[in-house]
Amino acid sequence: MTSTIIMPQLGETVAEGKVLAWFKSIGDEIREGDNLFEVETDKVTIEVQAVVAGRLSEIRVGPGATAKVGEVVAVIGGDLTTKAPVSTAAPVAKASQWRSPFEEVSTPTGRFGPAKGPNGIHLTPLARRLIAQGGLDLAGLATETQRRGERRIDGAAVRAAISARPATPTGPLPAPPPPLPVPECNVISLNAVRLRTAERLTENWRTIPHVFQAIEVDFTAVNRVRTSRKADFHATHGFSLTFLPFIARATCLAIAAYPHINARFDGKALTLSRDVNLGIAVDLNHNGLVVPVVRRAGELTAIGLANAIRRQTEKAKAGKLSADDLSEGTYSISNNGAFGTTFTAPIINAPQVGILSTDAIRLKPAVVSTHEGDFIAPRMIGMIGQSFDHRAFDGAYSAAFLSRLKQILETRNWNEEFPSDL
Amino acid sequence: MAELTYRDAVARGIAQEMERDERVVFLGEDIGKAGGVFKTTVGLYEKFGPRRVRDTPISEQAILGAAMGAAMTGLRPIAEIMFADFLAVCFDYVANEMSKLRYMSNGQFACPLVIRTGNGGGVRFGAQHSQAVENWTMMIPGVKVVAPSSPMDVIGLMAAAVRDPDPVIFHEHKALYAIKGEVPDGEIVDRLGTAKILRPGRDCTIVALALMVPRALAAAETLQHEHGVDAEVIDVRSLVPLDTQTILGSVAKTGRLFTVEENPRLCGWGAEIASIVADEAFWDLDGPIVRITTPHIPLPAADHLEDLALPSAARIVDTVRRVLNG
Repeated sequence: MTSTIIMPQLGETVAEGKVLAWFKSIGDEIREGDNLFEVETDKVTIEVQAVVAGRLSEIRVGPGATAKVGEVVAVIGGDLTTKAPVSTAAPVAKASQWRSPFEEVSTPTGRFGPAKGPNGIHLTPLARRLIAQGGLDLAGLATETQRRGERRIDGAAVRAAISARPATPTGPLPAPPPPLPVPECNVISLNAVRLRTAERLTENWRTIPHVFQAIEVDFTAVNRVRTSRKADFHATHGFSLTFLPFIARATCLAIAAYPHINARFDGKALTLSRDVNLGIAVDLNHNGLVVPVVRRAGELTAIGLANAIRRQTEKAKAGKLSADDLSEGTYSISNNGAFGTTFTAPIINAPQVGILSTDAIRLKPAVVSTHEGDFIAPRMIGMIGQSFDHRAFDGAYSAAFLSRLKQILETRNWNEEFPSDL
Repeated sequence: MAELTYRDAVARGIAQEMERDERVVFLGEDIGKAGGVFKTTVGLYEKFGPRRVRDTPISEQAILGAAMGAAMTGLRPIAEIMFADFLAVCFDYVANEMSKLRYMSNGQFACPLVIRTGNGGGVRFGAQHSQAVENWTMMIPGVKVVAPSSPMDVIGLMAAAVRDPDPVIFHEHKALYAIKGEVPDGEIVDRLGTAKILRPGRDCTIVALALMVPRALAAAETLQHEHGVDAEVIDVRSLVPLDTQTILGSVAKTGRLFTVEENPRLCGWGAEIASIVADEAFWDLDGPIVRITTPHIPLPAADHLEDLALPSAARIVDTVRRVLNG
């Protein structure tokens, strides 16, 4: 009995995939779940696993060759064939670990700031990386260190500062990591993933008439619940409760009232989607962008969304996203809050028709109306923005959606999202 | 399971491969009837006879020349160079001939042989019979280099070396021959190019080889109990290929790296590891990489001077403690 291995569906708009490496050779005994080959798409590289067992008898698409989705790339079972694959490159044990003899080490190109901090304080390389990645205030840390009579900041000091940091973003804005160095005439070639991302973004930007709208939202109610729940949440789930799951939950609820937001547009017709499959844009440490999808997000509570988003971003950062994780998104959220920006106008991920952006949420003086009059009060304020495809609907529809979203975020009883036993 | 000395493990490892494969032959000085000057090959001559276990004249070039010819024509020889220092006498074979044969003949010839050699100091043999020369061999493209620290690893890595299709230099440590270790029954086969984490720890990584491994482990115990430092100890085992992933993974965890090397400091193997870690794991480093080595001197024969020259457990403890507190 023979089974064929086909190039899998690699994402909703991907027509073909390039085989980077085979992990198995002709004649190898394959077990279900074995990694067969690695394939590159425009977003990620994916390891394709066997779904049947048997002996690998033929490889039709060798390393470096491209196959259309659905095309047979290899055969399991049947007679051994000595026919050479398209490329004769030898299979390697694990493609990601193979290195050319001329690149025996890979020197990191990222930079995390100078070795000397404010007032001549020394920073270890690990400390510099942790400060940049944790968005820590270096000046404050340096002052603190100096007050203790120390001259050096090491990894332990930064970790202590991170764990002692208050979780509510009421302090000074976190310092953004310094940008990657771009010395004069230093040409950075894009890798295949970046190149194809660039092509997709250009195509979307060129063909979709983008309109951007933003609305100011008072997150004080959300923050009150988040603050009261965060310790229990962290103890139960092992990570911090951020604003994002609340925004994602409110988005799903608002979509129920404005379903045209959650749809695909093909130039002639708008196809509304029953499920909300929410794409979450994840920055890969300044080294690319992926948008893993949380499926059927409309059926999840804020806690469920927090867990699902966490799962997908962890997978993205570990490079473990599969084709399923990246396909069939119906709406996306781009979250830039960590760096303190006010608002972001994102590019729509076709064939979706809208993308939401959230930015910094911080205390600001705001006018609060009560029955005793209007007052200025410190409130947690943030901008929610949306880029939408003007062919799919008009500004008034988008504005009504944003207004509904704002209303949900400001007035919903968010305690209901949390089971009473938590 | 049996308790075996490192020296007995050498004989068992060779016997295991000679029993398995008719093509495996063994040659060297006094390895036959005498059972080896370090008694590492006792019983092999009696078991496998004079055709497969051959005593040679005192000529390192003859030993390696014969072994290379045998390997090129279908045998799988194990050749002994009694003292690693005298690899220098036959270095042309190692550096220019056997290591380049497969490449220069475009794969028409291979050289599947193992050079066993008694490496290292600590046994009062003086400057010409005590050197740790693993770094000499590590620098030659075309040979693999291993240096086991336990009886179990001696057998497993010997099997891996004999079964490898290319030349492997197998550094046995003269000062380890008497140590004992548990060894399971039956065939033991290990993999070249793999390091072993012998003691997991959080605070720093100590990378060691051969005789330095038991000293690093002893130092780690003292560091734990007397100074509260939880050190991870890695036995490198194989210099070529080098298991960089295990070392880099450990440094990513601890942020601090110490190498403990018996070879003289200049161009020692730890310098290569320090270079790789500085390159690949710079942003994981929480302090300078520190090498603990024999100084760049001819090794003295006098007891107290030799003990002073080679890294000791006490020196490892002192250095790690001073650097981590500094």
